[in-house]
Amino acid sequence: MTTLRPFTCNDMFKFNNVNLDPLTETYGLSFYMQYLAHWPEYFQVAESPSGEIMGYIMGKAEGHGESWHGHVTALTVSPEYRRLGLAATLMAWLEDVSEKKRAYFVDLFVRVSNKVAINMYKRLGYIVYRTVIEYYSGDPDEDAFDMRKALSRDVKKKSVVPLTHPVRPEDVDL
Amino acid sequence: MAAKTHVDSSVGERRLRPIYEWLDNGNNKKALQEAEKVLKKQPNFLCAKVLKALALLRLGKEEECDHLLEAVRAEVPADDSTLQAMTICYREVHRPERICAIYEAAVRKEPGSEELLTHLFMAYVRVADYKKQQKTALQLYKLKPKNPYYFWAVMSVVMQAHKAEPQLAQGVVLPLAERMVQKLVNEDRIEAEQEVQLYLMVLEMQSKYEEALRVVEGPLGEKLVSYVVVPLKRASLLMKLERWREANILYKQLLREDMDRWSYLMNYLTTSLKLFDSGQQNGNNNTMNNSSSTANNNINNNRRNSSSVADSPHEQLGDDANESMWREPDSSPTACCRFLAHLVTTSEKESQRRLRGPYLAQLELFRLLSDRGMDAEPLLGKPADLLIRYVELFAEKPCCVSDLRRFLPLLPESERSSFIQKVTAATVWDPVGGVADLQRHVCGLQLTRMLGAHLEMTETQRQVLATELLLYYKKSMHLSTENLQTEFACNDPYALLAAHVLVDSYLATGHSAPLVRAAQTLEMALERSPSNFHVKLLLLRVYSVLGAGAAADAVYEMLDVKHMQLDSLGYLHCAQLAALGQLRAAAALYEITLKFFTANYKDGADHLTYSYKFGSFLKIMEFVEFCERLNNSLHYAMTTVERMLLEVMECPTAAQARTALSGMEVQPWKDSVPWDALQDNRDTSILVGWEPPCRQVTAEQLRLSFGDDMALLRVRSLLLRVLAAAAELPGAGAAADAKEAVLNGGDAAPAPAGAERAAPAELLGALAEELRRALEAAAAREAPPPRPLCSPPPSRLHLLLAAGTAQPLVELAAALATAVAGPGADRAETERRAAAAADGAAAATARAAAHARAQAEAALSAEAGAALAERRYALAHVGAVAEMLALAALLLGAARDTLRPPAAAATATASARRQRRKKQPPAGVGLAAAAVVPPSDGATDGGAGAEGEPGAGEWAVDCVCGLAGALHAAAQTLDSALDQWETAAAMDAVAAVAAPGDEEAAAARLAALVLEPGADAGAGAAPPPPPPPLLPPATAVLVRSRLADSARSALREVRRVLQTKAQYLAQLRRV
Repeated sequence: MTTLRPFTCNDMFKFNNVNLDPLTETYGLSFYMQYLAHWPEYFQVAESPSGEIMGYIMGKAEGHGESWHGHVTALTVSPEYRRLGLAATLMAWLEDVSEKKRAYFVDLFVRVSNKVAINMYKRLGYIVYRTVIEYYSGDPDEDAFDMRKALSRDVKKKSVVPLTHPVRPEDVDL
Repeated sequence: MAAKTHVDSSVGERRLRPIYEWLDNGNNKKALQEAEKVLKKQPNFLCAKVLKALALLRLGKEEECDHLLEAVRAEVPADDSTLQAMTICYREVHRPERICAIYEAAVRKEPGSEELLTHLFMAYVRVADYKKQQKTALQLYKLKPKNPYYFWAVMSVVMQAHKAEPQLAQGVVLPLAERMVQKLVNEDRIEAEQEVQLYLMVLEMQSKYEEALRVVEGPLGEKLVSYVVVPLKRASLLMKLERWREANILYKQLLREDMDRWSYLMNYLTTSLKLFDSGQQNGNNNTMNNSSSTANNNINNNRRNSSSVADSPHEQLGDDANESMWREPDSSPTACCRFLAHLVTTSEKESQRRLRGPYLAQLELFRLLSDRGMDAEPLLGKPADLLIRYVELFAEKPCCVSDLRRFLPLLPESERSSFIQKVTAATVWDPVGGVADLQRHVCGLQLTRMLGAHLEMTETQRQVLATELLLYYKKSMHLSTENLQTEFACNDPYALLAAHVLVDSYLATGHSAPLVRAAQTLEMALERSPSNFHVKLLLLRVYSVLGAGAAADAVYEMLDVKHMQLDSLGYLHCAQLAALGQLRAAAALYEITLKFFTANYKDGADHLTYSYKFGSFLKIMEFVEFCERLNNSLHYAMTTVERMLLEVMECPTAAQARTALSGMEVQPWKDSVPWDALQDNRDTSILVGWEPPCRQVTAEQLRLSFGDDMALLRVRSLLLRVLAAAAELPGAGAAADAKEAVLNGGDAAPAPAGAERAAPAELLGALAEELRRALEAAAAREAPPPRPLCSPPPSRLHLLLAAGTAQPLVELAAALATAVAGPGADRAETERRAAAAADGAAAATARAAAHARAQAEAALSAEAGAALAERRYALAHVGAVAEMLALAALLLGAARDTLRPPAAAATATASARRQRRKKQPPAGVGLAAAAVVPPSDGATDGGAGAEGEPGAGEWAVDCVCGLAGALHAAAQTLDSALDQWETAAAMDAVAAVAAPGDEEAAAARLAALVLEPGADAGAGAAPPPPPPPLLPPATAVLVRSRLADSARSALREVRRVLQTKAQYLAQLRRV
């Protein structure tokens, strides 16, 4: 069980329980503060009854015309609180906000190797819209899946017709 | 004119581009050349001038940059690119107020420019000048009546309220902000959601919740589109208004949507009990309220029903009853109990997965009622039963223990042991079970530990338990084979628990052997589960306690601590590294840490400007407070001081220290620590140990350790200022003096030009006295007893105080302050304090040398274990003494340079003094004090010298030389003891690889004590084969050699400092 509330700056002093996990990146301050300044409603934290941070989601709304959409920038849950449906709760929040903002769809990028996450997103109704080649730099670089879920405004579900060819990161139109 | 400027600017832009590119690529030399090229063609190109200034600045030529910028400023530029470039310059030199000045001037020149005004507004945001922000925003609004500008003004007013006295804020400032918004509301000109949010904030800051509620519920509330939480906002306002009934119903409706939302459950319970309280009052005045209050009727109904409900909380409800269950307020514990039971049954029916919230809420209700002194048992049953039911339902979730932690105190002491038995029975080990069974078993073990099951154990019991846990770890290894490298292995908790039990052993006995075994256990687990940060954190702590700074540093690297975490987690490692003699690693960590903090200082204001740009008014106050919290971090202040001390200490001579100190801009007369605002930013909750309440870290302990660190910071920052004051004593060369004069230019240095010789000496004396008092105050603080490793490490303060190295430095500084005071110097006082300094230094050194020799002997004997427990103290002691000797050498050097400037040093008197020295060579540390005080005939010599100008301070020079001799002897004593230790440590490292630890044999013997399921039952004739070793021998070798290597590298670094300074002292001794 959770308490969902807006992420605040002070949460950065105690998000270690989540961020020490090697798959969760700890970014520079500006990154978080840019999101807090620009899209505060998209940055939510799930808190345990004892006030511990169990996980958080950060996202944004961007794009023009029919590509106006919500984007999941980071979604992470502390190891202790996995398999409790927390990620789904956080995603539902982001989708809700995107609906309120009249977005056409929600999208996210995920490492093609991250099977656990990909399956979870599929369960939540996301499809692989396209592959982005060598999106994640590293040794070696890794491809990303761009996954999408249409929102109610996209009546004809045009946003979720998968592309047949992979794209390069520079061709990703954000 | 305007057209011409335009052409100019497009041509100019093309010319400037290469300069920008070089600057962006960090090639400042090329940028400078390019800028000069452009300026040749166009000598008055302001922007090119500024870019040249920027390149100069980045090349370290701050002065030239400043001149150039001033020249540009005089021309009052008003074009964007020039001003932007100037902004960058001023930001890099931390002069945000100048940014305001240039835009103010530009706006005066072109008052009609929206762009310039916007920049001016943002410039004020950077310096937090809220009044000028307000003025500029209104100017903007007048120029271009756009809503955002108007609300920038409103927000600027709110910020004034934030910083004002509460009375002024409530009486004047906030009402003004409210009226400003009201005006636009009345004119129906509210446009954006953010504007409504700001309105709500203004109302709430004045506790005008009724008005806020009307806004939320009214037409303006419809603008709150991205506010998914509008009902929540409503509910929270209702609670603030104490409209419990409505809030209660609202929370019930919210719960109907999401029965697992903890904040809803909590607020539901709160409102219900509030209603209950008011209901009781109503009940007492029945006649008055009877007819009108429907709420009252409900309470009475509930009361009437209470007994039957309590008896059968799961009774089936009809549809109507079901519906009313969601719509009627609950105003009694009985009603709450019934509603929660209803939530349980409904969620069991409707939810895909079993929800923990409703079950946990029952425990919460129990807790709330107990806290009020009410007997909750008739309603909810025994706490033990509630807890056991939760364990039975959720033990296979890793979070089960965290969920229950806050409710364990509900158990009466008398039921504790029977409860432990019940938990154990409900979570038995299943040798053929899967991951879920393992998790249940782990949950039981963690819970029972938390209930104190491991508290009263004998040493043998602990050893057996640790071995048993290791057996479970091994036996469940197969369950984690398919584990991804990025996930925790499911059997890690066994290794963690085993390590904690071993640490218990160490805490109970003081022996290091179990601690070494804990390290081995954790290394083993880490190899199979490289992402488990709990393992890394505990291993980091274990290595620290074992005095193995280098090993701890390797683990710290694996944690990949960065950015924010440098502040919140730095306490685990930063101070430990330095204390354990890992000077290089400490320097590197200080560097990274300070980079983070200074970057925040620079960037912090950017985020504020974004918030205004995007209208995220709710975040502005938060950002301001956050940046202050970071800037006032105790860790920041401490790291700043420690880094400077380390850098100074490593300087080979006083002259170099002087240069280093002036580069750091340490101003000895100024205390730059914001003492009253210092913040404790440690994240202490990250360490888990499943400790029982009596061993968990308390708020009081945190407060005390924070206080210890404050006291330490006081001592260390004063020590730094003492060094800086000594460096300011005149005489170390004219060049350095001139540079200093420039650096300090503009600041109010108390030393007037005429009194140059006396004032720094007085300052040095005053600081020495202040340091003495700070030490006294610090010494009055009690050292905490050893604590479990999930408590934050104790402050380094106590290690330093125990080493006794600060007091001699105080005496030395005081002695030097009087010695250099000129013709009227108090010789007797100087010599008295010099003797005290030498005595203190000798004593501290003798203790450190004894520590080192004991470590050396132990490393070569079989008794290594006992000394290992002391290694941390030995290293800290040795390191502190080395630092003391190094800093003392620099102080002496500064005094020598003053008394006898290097150029004039080679006078005839030198040889005479050398002869006298020869008569009384410093025989050893014990005799050091004697060496300091010159023989009585020498005293008259010096006294006579003070009369005539050329011989003035002769005795003072003697005193310095005498001290240098004493300290030199001390340095050599310590170094030879460290030499022994280092040699022994090297042999230990070799031995570690040659022979696996003895602990393995002991472990095998213990393992035989633990009966595995069925091991003794198959009582065949043949004895069972000896169990395989629980800890791989390779791990034992690894840990032992890490420990030995850590000691060696620390000793090497400490000796490097020691030897450099010994050379310098030898030189000082002879002058």
